[in-house]
Amino acid sequence: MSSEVSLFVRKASGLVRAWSIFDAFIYATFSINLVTLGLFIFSYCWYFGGSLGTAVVVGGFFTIFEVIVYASLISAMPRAGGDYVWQSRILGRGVGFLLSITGWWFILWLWVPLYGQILTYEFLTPMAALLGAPETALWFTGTSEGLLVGMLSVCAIVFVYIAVGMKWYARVQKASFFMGSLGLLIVFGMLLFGNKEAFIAGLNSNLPLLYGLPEMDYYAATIAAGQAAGTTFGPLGSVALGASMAMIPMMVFFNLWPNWGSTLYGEVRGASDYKRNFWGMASAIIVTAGLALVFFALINKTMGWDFYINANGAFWSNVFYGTEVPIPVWPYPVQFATFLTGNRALQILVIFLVGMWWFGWSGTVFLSSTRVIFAAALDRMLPEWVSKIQPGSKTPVNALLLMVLPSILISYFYAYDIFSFKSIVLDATLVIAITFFGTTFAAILLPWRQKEIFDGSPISPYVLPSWLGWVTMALFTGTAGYLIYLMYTYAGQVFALWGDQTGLTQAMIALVAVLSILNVWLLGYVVVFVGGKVLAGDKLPVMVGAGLVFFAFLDWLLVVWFWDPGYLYGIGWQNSTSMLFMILMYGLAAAIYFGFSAYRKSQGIDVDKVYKEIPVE
Amino acid sequence: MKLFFATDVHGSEICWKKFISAGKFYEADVLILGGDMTGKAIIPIIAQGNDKYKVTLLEQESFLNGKEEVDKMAANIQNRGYYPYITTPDEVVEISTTPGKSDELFLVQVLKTLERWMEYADQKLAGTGIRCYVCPGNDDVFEVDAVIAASKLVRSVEGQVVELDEHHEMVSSGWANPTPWDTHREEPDEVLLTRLEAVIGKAKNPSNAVFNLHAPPYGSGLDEAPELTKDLRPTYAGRSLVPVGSKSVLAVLEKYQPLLGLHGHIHEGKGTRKYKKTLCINPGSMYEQGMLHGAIVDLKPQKVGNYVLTTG
Repeated sequence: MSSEVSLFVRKASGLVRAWSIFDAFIYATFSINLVTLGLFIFSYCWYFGGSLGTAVVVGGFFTIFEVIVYASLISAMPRAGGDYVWQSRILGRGVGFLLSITGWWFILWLWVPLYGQILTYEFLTPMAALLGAPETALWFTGTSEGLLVGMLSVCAIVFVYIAVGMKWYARVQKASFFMGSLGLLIVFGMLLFGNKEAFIAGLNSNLPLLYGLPEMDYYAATIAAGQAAGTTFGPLGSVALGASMAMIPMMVFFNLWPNWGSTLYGEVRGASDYKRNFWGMASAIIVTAGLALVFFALINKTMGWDFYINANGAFWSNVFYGTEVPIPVWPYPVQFATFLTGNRALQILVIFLVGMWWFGWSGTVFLSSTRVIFAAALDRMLPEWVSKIQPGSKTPVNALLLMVLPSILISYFYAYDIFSFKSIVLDATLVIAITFFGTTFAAILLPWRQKEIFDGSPISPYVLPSWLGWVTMALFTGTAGYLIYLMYTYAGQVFALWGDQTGLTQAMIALVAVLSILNVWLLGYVVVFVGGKVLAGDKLPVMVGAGLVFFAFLDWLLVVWFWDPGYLYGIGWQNSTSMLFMILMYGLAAAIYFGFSAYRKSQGIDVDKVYKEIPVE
Repeated sequence: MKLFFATDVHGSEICWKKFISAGKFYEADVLILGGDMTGKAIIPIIAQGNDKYKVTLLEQESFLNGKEEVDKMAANIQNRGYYPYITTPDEVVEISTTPGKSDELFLVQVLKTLERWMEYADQKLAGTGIRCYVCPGNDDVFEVDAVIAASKLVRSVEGQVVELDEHHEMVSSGWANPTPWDTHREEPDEVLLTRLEAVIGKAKNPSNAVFNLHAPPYGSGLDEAPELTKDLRPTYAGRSLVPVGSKSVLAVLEKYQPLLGLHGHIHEGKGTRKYKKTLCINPGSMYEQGMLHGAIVDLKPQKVGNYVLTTG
């Protein structure tokens, strides 16, 4: 019995008990938001032959490795504040700054129009229609001005969240979770107990009533319009692994973010806190993927899978190519489900309740950014005024302006599709994926580069058995070889088209080729570095094993996004707007980094020592 | 004059050593430790017979063979800010069942560790010209003051005003406003205000001074900590942050407008905040990871020059 006592504590501040896994699950579930991010990106998957269900499951599977990596890093360096400090400490200040400023700040400028577009499609448009304003409803979705208003609304709403602070935002999120879940439950119930005939009748009667459209068979017309637009899809029940893999680079728009809700605060006292963080995030992925599959099944049962995908195809084909679309609003499955009832009050209630998934989620767009801006200012890599708190509102006004003003400009470009900005949706994911790529690389190196920190952390005992370490390393080496082969093959296909391209596009191809060479070096480095440790007899920590899997997954995503020989994702070398947008962001980050480093040195501040470990004799 | 400020090392051996080494590394003239030097837990390393030991660190049970492994584990425990204690199963029972026994053990461990730290500082700082000031914080038992006072080169400055150079004085207090843990040096804000006023009253020129006050000012953002339930669980998975700083510290900062406020206490509250001309800094703390958060501040005769927060 005596050996049961394993530590003695005294009265001292900060000794807290464990937080609730359920609460952690709520915040992670908001970050991989089925209703907002999920439904939005599912609607984009109208020209893939695979199965959405398979893509959700496979994408979720790889995201579990991301969760292991981030839960491990949080346990090893809990109060660091995330990617910025982890990368700066392990990979160097320059890498940390470049990847975190772009991934946690600049690219959020592009997320604002996406949040706005989703708000417009899922809340403003259906709510205006339900409240008897069909022209306003169609104005929101069908005009650039309407979309822009939605985007500006995001800035205003999030401004309020920042002003009220994390205390109240956490409460808003929790309340939104319960209201949103109730709304989703009602939708599922409607779809479960409804049938296709009732849905078709409801669709055909509600659309004219709500949106002032002419009476017609919208069900059949939508399927026909989708087919005419070239909609392609596999049956919902099929596995179609090969074809579905092509959808994974779309799917990560929705499920790459469980770590956004991770708990970075407080003392990590042991393995239980590691597991708590892991399960908070992992359960969000598992539950959300499960809910997505249920939603698909119910859509298939009551609306018909072909209708759903064709409706998406017809809508987006109209947006991008101006083809005919019978239903001139985004095919929001939640609103479609409400057509199964003729009760307006219930329809309004459902749209409102499910809309809470947006309202609870929307604060995430700036909260993390302000944190990174503050961290950069503390490192003296930004002027002091950016972190100034306005005394009256207690709001970091300047930091918010650094978020909001560029966001308004990007929103304007996006709403009016200037420079084809509507085509760069996936940039929003790609740039953050690069940041996660850097963090995963840091996690792989951490046990050796920051040995004392790792050895003193609660995750140090978690190691793979030797045989599994060997297998993991062998699989990673094989995957690295495959990725190099893939890049070589893609490059061959693309360079065959070199002569047909403009000078600008040729420059983009050359840039992607240079990045690929850098990637070959990086993959080779990981193989040699970690492989060397395995050969030397080291057991691979679980964090490193998971890191290798997630690193390879992210690497594959980057390869297919940038080379994209089938032009499936539209953000690679073919899309100069996308490439230049990213070049500008990384260029701006580099300019700030080198400019401020030089400036601070001229002031006598040795910024190079900010993250250097103090040597102890 | 360049000063290096760190705080809340909470028994971490490696953080103390880094703090003492920071003078040379950052080329600082003065080292200031803001408070909370002592650790929060004792980890028993329990003899199992035949030179084997059992220890549970961070909820992970390990079995150790021989002195070398025990020493390695002890160093690991010390670097994390805990006190390793080699013991027997019977003694563990005695400590855990006898009222006051663990407090006695804590006191012995705290003082023994601090004596070792003072020796280390005296040895490393000798001949460098670097001055070192520490001010015990709310988590530090009162007995630590005497140990620090016995050091040749480390000076305890609780309740004192010291001259940093010909232009600047430093006012220090490690006392804090009440916490949920009823710690050693905490008192209601109105009482704390009287204490602070008494110390500040000794300064010749408070408006050109450094206020080294352990508790951060209330509502400054340097005092944001996870909101807790009554049974001390973080609410909303630790995402709800609330201000827990001192209103009396805020009052004296606003009243006297010193050049610089140096604070700690809230490990998550890393940051800076300006109140008119006063720059307030909380470098935060990551003592469990052996990382020393700090701030390098260049003091000019009438103003704060450059500053930067460090993760050393």
